[in-house]
This record gives sequence, C-alpha cells and structure tokens, in this order.
Amino acid sequence: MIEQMVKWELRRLFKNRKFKIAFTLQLLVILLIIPLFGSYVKALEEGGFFNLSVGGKGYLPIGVSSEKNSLTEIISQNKRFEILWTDQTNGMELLRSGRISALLVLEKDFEEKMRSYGSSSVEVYVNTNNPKSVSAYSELNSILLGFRDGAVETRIRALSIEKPNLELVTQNTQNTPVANTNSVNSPQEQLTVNVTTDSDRPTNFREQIERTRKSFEDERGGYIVLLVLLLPLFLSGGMLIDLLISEKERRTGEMLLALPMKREKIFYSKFISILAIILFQLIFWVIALYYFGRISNPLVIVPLTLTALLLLSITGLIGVYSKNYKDSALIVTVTFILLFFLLFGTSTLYVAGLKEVAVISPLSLVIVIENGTYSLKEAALSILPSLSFSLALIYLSTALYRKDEFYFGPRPSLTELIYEFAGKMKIKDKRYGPYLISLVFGFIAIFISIIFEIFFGIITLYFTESIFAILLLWASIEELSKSIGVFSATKYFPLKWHEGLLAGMASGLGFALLENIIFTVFAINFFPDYAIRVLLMRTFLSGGVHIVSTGIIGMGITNRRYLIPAFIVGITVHLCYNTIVLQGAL
Amino acid sequence: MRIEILYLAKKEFKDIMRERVYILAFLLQLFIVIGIVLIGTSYAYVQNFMDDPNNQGNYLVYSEVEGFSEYLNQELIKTVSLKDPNYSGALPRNVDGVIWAEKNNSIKLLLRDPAKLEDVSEPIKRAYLKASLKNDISNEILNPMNITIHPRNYSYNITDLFFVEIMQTLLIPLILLLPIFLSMNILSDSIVGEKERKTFEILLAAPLKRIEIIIGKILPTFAISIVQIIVWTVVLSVRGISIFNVPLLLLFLSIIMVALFSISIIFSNISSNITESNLFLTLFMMIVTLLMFVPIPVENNFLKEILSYSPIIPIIKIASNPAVNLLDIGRYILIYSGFALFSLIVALKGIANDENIRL
Repeated sequence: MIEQMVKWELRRLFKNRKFKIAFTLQLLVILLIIPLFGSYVKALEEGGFFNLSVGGKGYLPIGVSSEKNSLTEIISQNKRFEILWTDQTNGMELLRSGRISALLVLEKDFEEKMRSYGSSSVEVYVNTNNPKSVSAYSELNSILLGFRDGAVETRIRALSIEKPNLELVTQNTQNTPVANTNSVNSPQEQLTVNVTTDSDRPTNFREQIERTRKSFEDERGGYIVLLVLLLPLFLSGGMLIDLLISEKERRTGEMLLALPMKREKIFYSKFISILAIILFQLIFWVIALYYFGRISNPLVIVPLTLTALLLLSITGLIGVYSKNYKDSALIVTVTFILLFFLLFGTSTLYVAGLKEVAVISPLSLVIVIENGTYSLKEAALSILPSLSFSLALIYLSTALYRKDEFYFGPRPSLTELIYEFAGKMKIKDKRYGPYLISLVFGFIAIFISIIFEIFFGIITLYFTESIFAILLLWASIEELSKSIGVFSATKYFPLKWHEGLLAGMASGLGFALLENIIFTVFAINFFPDYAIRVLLMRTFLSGGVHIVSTGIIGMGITNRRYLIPAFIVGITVHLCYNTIVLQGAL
Repeated sequence: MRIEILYLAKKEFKDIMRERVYILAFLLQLFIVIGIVLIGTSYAYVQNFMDDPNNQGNYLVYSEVEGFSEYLNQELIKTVSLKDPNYSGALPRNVDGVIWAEKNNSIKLLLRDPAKLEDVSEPIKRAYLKASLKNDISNEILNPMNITIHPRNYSYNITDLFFVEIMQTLLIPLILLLPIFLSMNILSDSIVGEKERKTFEILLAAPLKRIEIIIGKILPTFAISIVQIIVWTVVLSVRGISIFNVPLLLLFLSIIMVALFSISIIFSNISSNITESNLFLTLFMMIVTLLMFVPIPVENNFLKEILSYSPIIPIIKIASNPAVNLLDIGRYILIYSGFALFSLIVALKGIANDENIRL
C-alpha cells in the first residue's frame, strides 16, 4: 500500500505547477552557475567582488582638479568612481560638504613632466568625517601607485637601465655567504621581532585568522559547490510541507485517514517520495559537477543525503504541526535561516581548524571527502548526530501525525504538547513521579537553553556589549528552561513547597548532568590536561548552583504568590555564580 | 482622502497586527539585521588578513646598498635590518622572508611562501635600482610622482575599509529592502485572502471604489514598511553605521514601494490562492535579489546599460553619501516614478476585471 501511495504522491508532484516551476528554476540557476563558476571564483579571488557588484557603479564620487591626461583617463575607466571635474577651491568645498569622498589635484603640466622624465606632485585630499573617504582613498591610491610603478618601468626600459638579478633561494641554499659584511651602510638594528617558530597548532588569534584565510582560499570553490548542491535540498524541503499542508487546506486529509493503513505510513509515503526526488536531483548534480570537474569525489553524495534527511525531518515536523501555508511559511523561513547558519557555521569552523566541533555537521564531511582526508572516525562523528537527530524528529512527526487534532483541530498549543509529553512519564507513585518528570525536562532544558542563549545572546551583544547583561540573560534563560519540568510536574501532582523544592532540584540535576557531560567532552578534545579538573569543578560547583537555584524556583512554582520573588532569587543566585566564575577566569 | 479609506486602512492594520506570523517576521528581521552586521564585521576582519593593500609583507633585510631599506618601505615592504649575512635560522613568525641586497646588482630572496614572488619581485628590484642609482641619475627619473595625502597624518584601519564597503554596497540596501519584500507578501496575502474567503464581494459592497479599496490595503503595509526602515536605521546607528539623507531615501524607497506593491497586486490578480501568489512572489524576489545584489560579470554593453539603472545604485548613492547630486538622483526618481505609475495602472486594470477577484 505504501508503494502505491508513494507513486500517487510522485505523480501528483510531477503534475504540480509549483514543483515544475521550482525544478526549472533550480535547473536554470545551476546551469547558469556551472559556466560562470570559473570566472566568478577568479573574480572573487582577485578581489573583484565590488567591481562586479551592480551597486558598485559610481559608488565613489571623487573630485579631480586637472587637465585630462593619461592618469585621469585610467581613473575614468574605473566604474566605481563618479568623477566631478572641478578646480581645487570648489573641490575643497565639495569635499567638506560630503558631495565627494576624495579630491585629486594634479599639476597642470603633469603629462609633460611624465614624458620628459620629470617628477610631478600629486595631492590627494580626504574628508575624515566621511566614512567613504577610506574606500575612495584606497581605490585612488592603488591606481596612483600602479601608475607610478608603470611610469618607473617605462623609464627603466627607455633608458636601458639594467635591472638587478633576483635569485630565489630556498631554506637549504640560503647559507651562501654574502660578501663583505663590513660595507653595510644601512642602520644596523637588532632583530626585534618575535622569533618563535611555527608550530602545527595555532597559538594566537591572528595566526588562527591567517589559517582561516588560507583555508578559505583553498576551499572557496568547494563552498560554492556546497551552495549549489544545497539549493535542491532547500527547495525540496518546501515541497514536503506543501504535500502535508495541502491535505489540510483542501480538506482531503480526512479521506486519507479513512484509508485502511496506519497513519504514520501516510506520512512516510510523502516523506519517501520527496526523499526520492532529492536523491534523484543530488545524483544528477553530483554526476554533472563531477563531469565538469567541480567536485573530485562523488562520495560527497553521502553527507549531502544525510543533510537532505535532516532537512526533510525538520520540514516534515513543521508540515505536521502547521495549520496552514501562512503558518508554515514563517516557521520554515526561521528554521532554514537557523539551519543554514548552523550547517555553514560548523563547516566554517572546520576550515578554521576547529575540526573537533565542526565534525558534527554533515557538510564538514563534504569538505573532508573533497580533501580526500576522511577517516572512519570522522565519518561516524559526522553521520551519527545528524542521523539520530533526524530519526528523533521523524518519530516525533509521526507521533503528532497520529493525533486527530492536527487534522480536525483545534491544534494543541506547544504548552499542551509539553504537558502531554510530561503525562506520558507520569507514574502513579507520587514519591517518584514529579521528580522523574522534572529530571527528564532538565535534560531537555539544556537544548532549549542553547538555542535561546545563542539567539538572544547575539541580539543583546549587538546593543550592549555588556558581559553582565549577557550573564543575566543566560541565567534567566537557563532558569526559565529548567522550570518547565517543575511546571509540568505540578500539572499532574499537587505539590507542597518542599516537594516543589525537590522537583526543582531534580530538574537542576538533570540540566547539570548533561551540561557537565558536554563540557567535559569539549575539555577532553581541546584541553585534555584540564578535563578532570573541569569535570570535578563543574560537578561540585556548577552542579550545586543549578540544583539550588532551580530548587528555589520550584518552591515558588508550588506557591504562586512567591513565583516572581522565587524566580528573582533563583536567577540572582545563578547570576552571582556566573559572575564569580567569569571574574575567576579573567 | 475620504475617511472611509482610512477606516479600511485602520481595519487592515489591525488585521496585520493580529497575525502572530507577521509579528514573528518583524522579530526575525531584527535578528537578520543584526546577523547581517555581524557578517559584515567578520567579513571585514577576515579580509583584513587576506588583502591588505598597505602591506606587502615584513622582511629581514641584509643590504650592502645604502638606502635600500627606505626605498623598500616606500614600496610598502616593511623591513627589519639583518646584521648577519649568513643568517640561516628559522623564519620568525611574523616575517615573510629574507632579502639579501648585494653590491654586484644582485638580490637574493628567501620567501616563506614562494607564490608571493610575483607580487614582491618588481617592488624589490625598483627599490634596489632607486638606492643604487641615486647618485648616478636624476632623482626625478625613478620618482615620477610625489604623492601627498591631506591631512598629512591620515591613516585608516583596513578593517574599516572592507566593513564600510560591504555594508554600504551590499548589506545596508538589503536591510532597507527587507521590510518592502515582507510587505509585498502581507499585501498579497490580504488581497488573495479576500478571494479565498470570498469576502471581496462584501468589501465591494462598501461605499468605496475599487481603487480606494486598494489604497486602503496599501496604506497600512506602506506605513509598516516605512516604520521598519526607520527602526532598522536606528538599530544600525547603535553600531555607528550611518545612513545619510534619510528623508530623500524614504522618498525614493516610497516610489519603489508603490512599484513593488503594484507588482504584488498584479500577482494577486493572477493567483487563485495564497500558495500560488507566494510562489510568484518568491520567484520574483529571487530574481530581483539576484539582479540587484549578486555580482554579474556582464560583457554585453546593452545589459550593462540596463543594469546601470538598477534601483540599488540610487539607494546606495543616497544612503552612503553625506551630500548627493540631486540632478542625478532626480533622474532615477523620474524613471522609477514612471515605472511605479505604470505598474499601478496595470494593477488597477487587473482589479477592475471581475474575474480576477472571483466575482
């Protein structure tokens, strides 16, 4: 039956106008990118981005006070300049008003001096209050220096001056003695630069950036390939949502539900049909790009398929949860933006040298495979997290898909779903029930916290740059996330204050346990010598603080009169600890 | 303007504000705006190390030619004098190579990265010639230009250069156009929603002309876009990113809005449901974004001429210059006003057709 449904879905998709347009569009984009690929990468490598950019035309208004000559002709050919021919006095006025970003003043007999092997003075004026003057000066200066060097070369050739011989020596041959050290006339200085030799592991931030730069240079082509290949994935993600939502909007879902088959199979049929289309597209593009020499190893299809699975599992869940297209459109946009940042962020970390962190992204595996340096361990580390996360989401989607409310409404709110999930963990024995719920939600709270801490952390950092504000924000987010467990427990068990305290402590314990495991794994990877210390310190200090702070909040939740004061106290305890730890670290 | 149009606009505004999805979209935009600034900052920071035009590298220099190091500095090569001509130790971390300048018209060069040879060989040779020939030929021959910058102590941070460029030519226009793109969606949803719910007929029964109904629908989205543009301008100014000539910018963006909103109405006219109109709008926005923001290596002169009328050019000119050439901007205003008027007429003609609103 499921095979039949997959066939129906595929037939429906291929007849769908939206699908046809989307498929044609991506075909056009990719076909366009392949021939442009070489010139595009070359332009980027030569720093030609701004020269090619449409908005770059006339971006730099400059004033030129000069007769037309060979130098001004070169400047005029630069499309980024908008040139105003003016005299010096008027030019200075225009510069002050911000109408021009720089003023170039050449002598009247500039051309004549150039031809007669003379020297001419060139004045460049900038207005430091105009942010654009930096660009104008930089662009103008590079032309002036280029012209000057060109003029020197021409004169050297014209006067038949013999150029010095330049010999490139290697580290091994450099010991050739250089004659007559006594005749050195230049000022002798001691070697003042840092003479530390290179090591494999970057030891300062500047060097780290330098490495990143080099990696970007090497991987830039690979990055564009990734972008090209992600296009069909992102477009197809929308198709799955379309298949799921259209049944709700057209009210045809009821008929499907009446079919003599399990509901999850309906979901799987839609999921499989889209996955088949993605696989077909991926195989097509990988073969095409391999044929054109844009990728070196067709095995990249493995991590790309995993990325597709991850994307589909997320869009599948959105499709099941959303009421209508409008609802899903925004969630999809948010999710795609976050996913895009996550996937590319982690693969950027990979080229920056932080392989231990980056390895969790399947896209890092694409880079590794392209480099030909993949190992079984790296492959397993890349595959397992995303695969297990995808499977968990697919399970969640099918669990929701089984529920009538997602078809017939009213759709349960997130809070109701959380309480329902808590209800599944309810055991009759009150001695353990609330604490089990709180403990499990404590584990989950860490993931909720990470997402919100990144999102609001970035916004707060933008506006304040205050580390105190960030610490306060993080303490609040973590305490609010941990309290979800206690709120859920009180839904099923009427708790007294001391039971609320214990439930809060259980939630704090769950949070601290998982947080400690994550921190310790990081420490083992980055600072193996400190791993034990990190584990012990976090267990006894951070663990204790999480337990105490959420315990206090747990008491407040059981007695609503004290809810806000309890939150304030719990967050304050957490904040004090964060501040002390930070001061200690600094 | 008739008061009834304002009533309709007020009702539409309330409807928009009631939609949780739109409120979330505004918040999402804030995150995107901040993310864009962070991208600009990190791009500038990485570029700083990638392509510093003021530094050809740091070299250890052993010279038998007087003044060689000074001329190297003029060629943007930073130098540290080397005492020992037989230096053979490992290269210090911040040093790109060693230069041995000998008297017999020969230079030896050791490079950390041999690929840099092409970049540095000519400047090194020029510096050597200038130093070795300074007593033999007129100084003017090898120094054709004396470049002076005013103010004399002018210096700039290379990170600022890249940050200003990427923000002004790419990211600020993107931030300014984001609210307009979102409003196109809101407007289209509002019109197609009436068609889907079959409520357009009721609206037509109101004492309003069709054009007035459309104005009533455009007004709130227009106001929301303008408010958002002002808010994003303030958000950018928090980080010291200046947007100049805000009133003129708002005027030009308003004209662009009329044109784009009219296109949104045209898409709504030809769409039978929200899915279809969203598809048209997504495709339209993708093409517009591609044409406006993606650098295209165009060789064809006609296409180049067409692209030079891109609305992104006046937006950048107005927003990035403290003072602008009003005549130049006026030309763009005139062209886009004409385009906006034409689009609006086509959109209104479409609305006038009963079939398009499913009567």
